[in-house]
Amino acid sequence: MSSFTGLNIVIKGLYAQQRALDVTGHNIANVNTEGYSRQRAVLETTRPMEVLGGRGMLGSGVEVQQIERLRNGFLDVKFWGESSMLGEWSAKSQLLTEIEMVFNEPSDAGLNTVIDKLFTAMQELSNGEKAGDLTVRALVRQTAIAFTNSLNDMATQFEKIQTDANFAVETKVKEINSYAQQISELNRQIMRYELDGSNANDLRDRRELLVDRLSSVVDVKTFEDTNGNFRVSIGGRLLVNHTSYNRLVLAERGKEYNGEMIDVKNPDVDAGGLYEILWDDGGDFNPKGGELRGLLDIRDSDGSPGTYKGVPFYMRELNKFAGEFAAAINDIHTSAYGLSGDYTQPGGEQILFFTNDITADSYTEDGSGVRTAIDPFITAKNITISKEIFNDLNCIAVAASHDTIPGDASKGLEMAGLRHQNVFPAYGTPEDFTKSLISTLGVDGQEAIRMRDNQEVLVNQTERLRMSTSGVSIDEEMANMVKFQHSYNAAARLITAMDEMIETLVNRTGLVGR
Amino acid sequence: MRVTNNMLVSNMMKNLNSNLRRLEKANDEMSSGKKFRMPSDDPVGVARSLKLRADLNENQQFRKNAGDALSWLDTTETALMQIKEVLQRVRELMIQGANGILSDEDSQKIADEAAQMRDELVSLGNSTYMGKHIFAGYITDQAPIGLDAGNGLDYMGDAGQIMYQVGVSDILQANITGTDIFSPGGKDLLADMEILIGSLNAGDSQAVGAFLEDVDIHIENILTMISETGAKVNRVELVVNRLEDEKLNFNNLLSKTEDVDMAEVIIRLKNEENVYMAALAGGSRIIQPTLVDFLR
Repeated sequence: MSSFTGLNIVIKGLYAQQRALDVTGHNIANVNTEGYSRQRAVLETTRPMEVLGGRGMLGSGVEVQQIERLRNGFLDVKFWGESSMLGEWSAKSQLLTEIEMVFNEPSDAGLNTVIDKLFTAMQELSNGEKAGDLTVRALVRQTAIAFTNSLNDMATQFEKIQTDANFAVETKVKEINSYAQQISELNRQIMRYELDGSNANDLRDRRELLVDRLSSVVDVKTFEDTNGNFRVSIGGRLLVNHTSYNRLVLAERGKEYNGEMIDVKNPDVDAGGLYEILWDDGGDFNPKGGELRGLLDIRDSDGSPGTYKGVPFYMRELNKFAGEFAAAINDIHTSAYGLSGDYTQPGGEQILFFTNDITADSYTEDGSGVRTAIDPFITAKNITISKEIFNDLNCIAVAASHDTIPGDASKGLEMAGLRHQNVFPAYGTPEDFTKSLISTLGVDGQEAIRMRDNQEVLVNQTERLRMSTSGVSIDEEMANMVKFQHSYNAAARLITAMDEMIETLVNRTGLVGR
Repeated sequence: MRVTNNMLVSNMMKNLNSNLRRLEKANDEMSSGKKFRMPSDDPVGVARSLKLRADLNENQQFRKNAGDALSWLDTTETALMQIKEVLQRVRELMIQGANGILSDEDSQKIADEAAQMRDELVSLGNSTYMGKHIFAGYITDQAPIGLDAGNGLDYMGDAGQIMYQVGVSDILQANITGTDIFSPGGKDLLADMEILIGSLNAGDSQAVGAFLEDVDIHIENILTMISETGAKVNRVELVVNRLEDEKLNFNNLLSKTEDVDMAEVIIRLKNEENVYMAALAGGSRIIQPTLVDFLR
């Protein structure tokens, strides 16, 4: 046994405590780093030496066996699941709030008020003797224009919400591709560093942070096999496969991509330029969670059984409202007579009140001059008053026959009476229709907010558990610092003692009498 | 469970955030006075509020219609009263004229006055309200009462009914047509007047006396019209009262549905403020000290 064995043992102790202190320093420096997991130097005794003759083993000191990272993988998986759902409901609740603002109820400026004013003006015209008053007719025309403008506006704003969601989808897809690339790059680096069996702690932290961010955008599943190959899959298909990754591409609907035509999902209501998300090999992409799911649901989903009620649902309902309401009014109007001239003649009653093109005639004339009113396809976006009413107040028709002008307003009373009639077979009166639509929206909005708030609590709870396991506690690190400092001091003190012993041996023995 | 300083900070921030959220909501309610802003705040309340607002608007329109109806009926009643007075004067003239001892000159003077009365009747028959003839049915832009070749009634209006809607299923007819006034039951008032004037001119006092019965029938007719109109006025006034009551009810309900109880909201606001201040004070005390402060 060498005389310097003891020194070796203590020096090892010195190094070990130094390393441990370094790790403590690293933890303290990174206390506020996002995604950082605290690290710990795992100290282990080195291989003891045999002292022959049955006297046992002599310990040979300590070494840092590894620097381990304290992280609970299960909590990560749980967090990624909850974070996806939070992302989905956050996106949904935000967009639903925007839809609520389009309807603008309850207020004095919403759809219901405009309908009210139209019916009120119609009543004003049809009561008593005012059927011939041009001022009252002007009022009817004005409120009708306000009504159609309101509907046009709402349709345009719905399209804008779709376009905005579309832009957000584009951004999220770019984000996903960027994360995929970064994760695969980290995979390569981690593999290189861990070839000799060590832990690439900080790189793994960075990788998990990227997956955290990815999980809020889309639903994520990860696998790491025994060889250290890390795989990430989203929407059921592999995004990152160890060091290689697949990309998502955006294909504009209505145009061809790679020789194949991409269908528009809701041709009757969709805004133009919406993107379809595909994998780069052309396969369909179907996220089941995350912000992307929320955005796609609101942008594309039409509320058919089993699907979410997104913008297309509300647009279709609004179109239904515009179409059937206009048809009910037109039915009565085209059988009523106007105030003067042409409009009081048989055949002059075929004037539409609402139509879809303000530059087109309300009727077609056959060879013998008999007029028939056209049956236009009216939607919320194109509804407008007819060209004839726009140009001439006299053609607002409220009289039942052409010789009861100007006092007859019985048809006008009928039109005003639509307020209380079941114009819509599935809903009832016009007010019932708007009320039920807004209630549906309100309930869905409430649900989205509630789900989001619940998910926030769950995510916070999981995050809290993660921090409890992996977070750096300054108090703890300070205590550790003191611990390692003391050990270092003690080891240094021991070196001094051994140094003196060796000096005695080297300098003082064999010097008798000198 | 292991707790780190960052967890304390993070917790404190989350709690402060939820405090502020509640504070914001209370403040919102107080400054707007409304319980909800968007359908998602309270879908049921919003649906109810929409219905009540629509009902209130309709109620307002019905009150306006009722007001217009009353004006029309007023004008009608006034015209009818004047017609009645004219007819009563005619009756007096007839009694005078039936007196056999009148001279030709006197008969002539009575005949002249009778002719004036006839013209007055035509004029009253063409009374207007806001520029529209009230006894013309639907043809309100033309004077309905005229004289035909034999100075009998030439009615140029029609039988149209001027309607006022004062309730959802409450539509009343407010007008009386010229035919009702001038030719009840096949008799023709103007033609009768013409014959009377002729008889007066001719000095035929017996013929004049025979027409007293006819005049009475006409006067009776007008009195019936007047009482009918009076009844309609009563009915409309009752409707107006009911509509006023309804308006009060609706406003009441609307307020209960939409408006916040100010006292309750203010107390809640103060409460939330207190909680927020306590959270701030408590939180700031626990996130500050660490072991570093105490190690030499």
